[in-house]
Amino acid sequence: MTRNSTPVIELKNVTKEFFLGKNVLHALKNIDFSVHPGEYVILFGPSGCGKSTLLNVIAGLEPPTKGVVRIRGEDLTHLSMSQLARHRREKIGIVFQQFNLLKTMNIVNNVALPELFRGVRRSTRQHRAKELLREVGLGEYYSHRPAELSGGQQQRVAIARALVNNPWILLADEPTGNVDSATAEEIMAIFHDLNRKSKRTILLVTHNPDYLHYGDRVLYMRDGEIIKSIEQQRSEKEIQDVRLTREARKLARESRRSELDAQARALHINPKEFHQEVDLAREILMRKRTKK
Amino acid sequence: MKPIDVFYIAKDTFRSNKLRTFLTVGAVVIGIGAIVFLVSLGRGLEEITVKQITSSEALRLLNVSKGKSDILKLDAETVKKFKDIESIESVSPRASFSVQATLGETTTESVLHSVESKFAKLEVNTLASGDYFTDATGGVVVSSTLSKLLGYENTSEILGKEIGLAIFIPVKGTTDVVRKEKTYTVHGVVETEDENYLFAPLSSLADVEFGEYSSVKALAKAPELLASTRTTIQDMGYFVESPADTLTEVTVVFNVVKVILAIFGVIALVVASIGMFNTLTISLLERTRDIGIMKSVGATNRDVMAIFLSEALVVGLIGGVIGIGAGWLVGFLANSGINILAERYGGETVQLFIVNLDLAVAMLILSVLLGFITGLYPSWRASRLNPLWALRYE
Repeated sequence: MTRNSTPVIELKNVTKEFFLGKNVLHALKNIDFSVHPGEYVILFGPSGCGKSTLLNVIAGLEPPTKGVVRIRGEDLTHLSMSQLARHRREKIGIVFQQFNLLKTMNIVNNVALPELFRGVRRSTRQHRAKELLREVGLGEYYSHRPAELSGGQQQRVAIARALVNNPWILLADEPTGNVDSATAEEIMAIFHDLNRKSKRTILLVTHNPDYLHYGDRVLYMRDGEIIKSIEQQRSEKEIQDVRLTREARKLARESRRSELDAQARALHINPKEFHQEVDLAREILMRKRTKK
Repeated sequence: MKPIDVFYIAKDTFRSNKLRTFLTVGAVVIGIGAIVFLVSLGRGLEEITVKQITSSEALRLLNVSKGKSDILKLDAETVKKFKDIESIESVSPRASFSVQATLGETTTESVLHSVESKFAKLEVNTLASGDYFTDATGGVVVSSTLSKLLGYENTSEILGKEIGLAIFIPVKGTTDVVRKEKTYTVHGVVETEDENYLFAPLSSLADVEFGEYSSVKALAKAPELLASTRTTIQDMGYFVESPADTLTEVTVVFNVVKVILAIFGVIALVVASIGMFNTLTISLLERTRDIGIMKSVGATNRDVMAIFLSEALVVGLIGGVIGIGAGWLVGFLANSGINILAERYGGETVQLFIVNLDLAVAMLILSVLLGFITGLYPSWRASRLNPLWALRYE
């Protein structure tokens, strides 16, 4: 699509080696690739293939053993610790599989955290954080702690946090790895919108082939190497279908929620657990049906 | 990061980890409280002893006598000379005579000290009963020993009684003695162990010719001027004594006592700081992931250091404030308890524990310093953590 523009992410000959005692683990072997503005790139591969390491190198969390990493023209390998910290808080937004929210703070302050380190005034950054929380549909949970929210909600807080400094590049490391499949679809839809509507460049790591259709380009990785790069036209219809299914499921779930709550109470089960059990059962049934 | 944000983070941390915060602050409170308690006890003991020895005016007082000299004179002219010394506020001469005291049937030997009425309070120790004399009232103050010799065991009963005195006055320039009779009313009684004397105003002896005073008391304008005034008078050849001499020795003794008490306090503080260091280190381990999160969203090493160090400082400060309050409160309660008992059994009320502003300020500085020192290493370590390693830490 935007092949002619200058790349926002550019890696040349990037190698990463870990020394585990006497053994050397080649996590990344001579990686070369670029990401252009507005692109949605998915890094796909089995666990241990080096895709997370690659993301961490781009995030400035892991220095490469060799090679050049340019983010919007700036070579990360020459930056000092505090310059790397600035890179993380100003140039990129990161979303992790583990959500990585601070348990001690409410979600508004969690979202505002990168702005705190940038030295933005408290009222300003909280205002912006609330705005973003409303955008990801958590407007009524401002004063909640992360532990009081579901996994999907926590991940949405993490996405809001990644967006708070308004970065052009979003890095996501298995963002759907810790949530149920219905929530995973919601999360993927948020990333899709961020790419389509807000024109953000996204680099997403996953091992789940179900989400490959979201990307403009899929990089297949194995044993520290990019073995295949496939560009694809994203089928808006397919994405739309997924979205509709999701909406339908959501509606169905909500309509049944009160009913399920009553049942859970009658059975003396935690309603939240009960919902999850029911969701799981429903999923198994659906899978069986599709196999038939 | 703005400095104020450090405190927002600290506030969240303290609130979400109340027990740990409570224990850490508690350790500092006990350490600082113990020092405040012990040092205030030392000060109180010192203050009480100093008060026992002398009033605060004694710190400006010089006792001048002729010593062994035969050439020097201690007469009205000398007194005038002393008055002219700039650093001296006032001079109180004292003339002493041998007397025979008679009350009713009883007669006994005693010593009469006659002083100017306005210096009566300074010359005579605290009265057990009655009042000091003035020029208007006249009268005498007797020692309790004399009172007993005259047959009054209960000193308050002698008040108002008439004492007849036969005063033996040396004639100037000779060894002869003139006997003079006078009658005085007893105005007050001084409690003594076994000293037999009585005080009368100089004005009552105006009709008596006597050559020299036995001693002179000079009051310096300020305690700081005492030493220089003393030198001036000594240079004139006179022998000078000061109650402040004894005071200096007492102060030295109490400095030792205070140091010993402070050592106990410091031991308590060392234990407290080890506890605090331990808690901060554990807290670091507990929050390793948090540090990873902060760093991954853009906190610099300095930010992390500032966050941890300021938490330690805040713990030190809060612990210090509460500790000073606690130390003071315990002392206050002890004081009150002692004074309630003292009042019940008719003793003197005392301040056994004294907390001054300088002690409080010193303790506050110490507690913040303690937070800083114990927090330095854990926060330095926190700041150096590798963000990825910290994120994976469970």
